[in-house]
Amino acid sequence: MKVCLIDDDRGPIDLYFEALQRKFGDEQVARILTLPDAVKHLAAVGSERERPHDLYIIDIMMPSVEEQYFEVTDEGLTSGIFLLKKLREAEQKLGLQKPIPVLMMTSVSQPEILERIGKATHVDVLAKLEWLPSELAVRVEEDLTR
Amino acid sequence: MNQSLHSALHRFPEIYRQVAIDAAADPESIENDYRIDIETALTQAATPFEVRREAWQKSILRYSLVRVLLDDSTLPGRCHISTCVPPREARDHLVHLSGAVLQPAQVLHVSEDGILASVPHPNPRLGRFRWLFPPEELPKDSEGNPQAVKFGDVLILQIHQTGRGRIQGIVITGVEDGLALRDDLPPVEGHGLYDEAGRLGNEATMDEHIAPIIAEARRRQRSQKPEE
Repeated sequence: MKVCLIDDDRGPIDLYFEALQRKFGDEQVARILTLPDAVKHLAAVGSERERPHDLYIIDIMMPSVEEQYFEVTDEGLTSGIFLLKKLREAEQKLGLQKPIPVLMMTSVSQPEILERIGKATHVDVLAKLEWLPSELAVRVEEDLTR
Repeated sequence: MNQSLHSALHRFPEIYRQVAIDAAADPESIENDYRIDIETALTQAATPFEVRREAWQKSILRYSLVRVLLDDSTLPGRCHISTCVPPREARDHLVHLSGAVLQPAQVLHVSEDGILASVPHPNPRLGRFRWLFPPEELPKDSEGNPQAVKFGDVLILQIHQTGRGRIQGIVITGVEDGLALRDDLPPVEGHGLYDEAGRLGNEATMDEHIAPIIAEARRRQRSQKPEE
C-alpha cells in the first residue's frame, strides 16, 4: 500500500484517513490503531514477513501500557520516535537505499516542540487540525513523488 | 499562526459548553449531526480558505469532544491516566492545568472523595468509575484542605506523555457555573472537595454528583429553545 496511518486518534484522523482513501484509493491506505500493532507491523517488515508501505504517517504519542514502546526525549516519552527508530532499523535490515518517507503528526501545538522533534527525527512534524484533510492528501502525494 | 487542537480549543472555548449541552439534550443523534457539520465545512469550496479552515477546526473539535463524552471505550481500564502517568505525578500537575486539551481521553469528576477516573456524562450506562486520587492523595493547602479543584468540577483531561507526566486538560464546571469553561484551576480557599451539605466519604453517590450537571445542561438547553 502507498500510505500507512499509525494513530489511535478517532477524531481528525478519521477524516484524514478518508481523504487519503479518496486520493489514493481505499486499497492504498492502511491504518494501524494501536501501538502494539504498529510495533508488530514494523517487526514484520524488518523480518521481511510484511512489505513496508511507501509512506508512514505516525502519531507522536499513542497510549500503551508497555513502557518499552516509548522513547525518552526532552518532551517526555514518545511512542512515535520509538516507531520511527524501528522503521529505520527495518530499512537497514532490508538494505533500502533511501529512507521511507515519514510524516509525524501531533496534537502538540507549541512550535518549539514541533521544531525540536523535527530536528531530532529529521522528519516533518505536522500539527493536527492545522491541515485540512484534502491538504494533507496533497502533501502526502508530494512526498511520495519526491 | 500555528493552529493545532490545543490552540484551537483556546480560540473556541464556547465549543465545550455547546457540546456538553448538545450531548445532554440529544445523545442519540448528536454525533452524527456533528459529523454532517464536518462534511459541510469541508465541502464549501467557494468559501475563503481561512474561513473554511476555521469551520473545519470548530466542527472537528465538536465531533472529537462529543465522541469522547459518548464513547464506551473511555471506561476505566483503557484510559491514558491509568496506564501512563503515576497518580502522584498526575496529581501534582492538576494544580497547573492550563485549559488545554490535546486529545480528550478521559473524563474525570471531582467529588468529595477525590477525583474519579470516570465518565460522568449524559449517557447513564457509563456511570462506572474508580478512584484516581483517593482523598489522602489530593493536594492540600496550608490548612490541610484539598485545593486546586472543587466539588462539582468536571475535568476532561488528556494524559499525553509519560515520564515527565505532562497533563493537559480543561475544566467544565458544572453545578455553580453552568458548564462554563474555566481556563485555570486556582486554589479554592476553604472550599475543599466537600459537597454543600458537608458530606464526606461515600455518602453521596456518583449520580448525585452528576445529576445537577446534566439537569443544568438540560435546563439551559430548554431555555434556549424558542417558546412553542
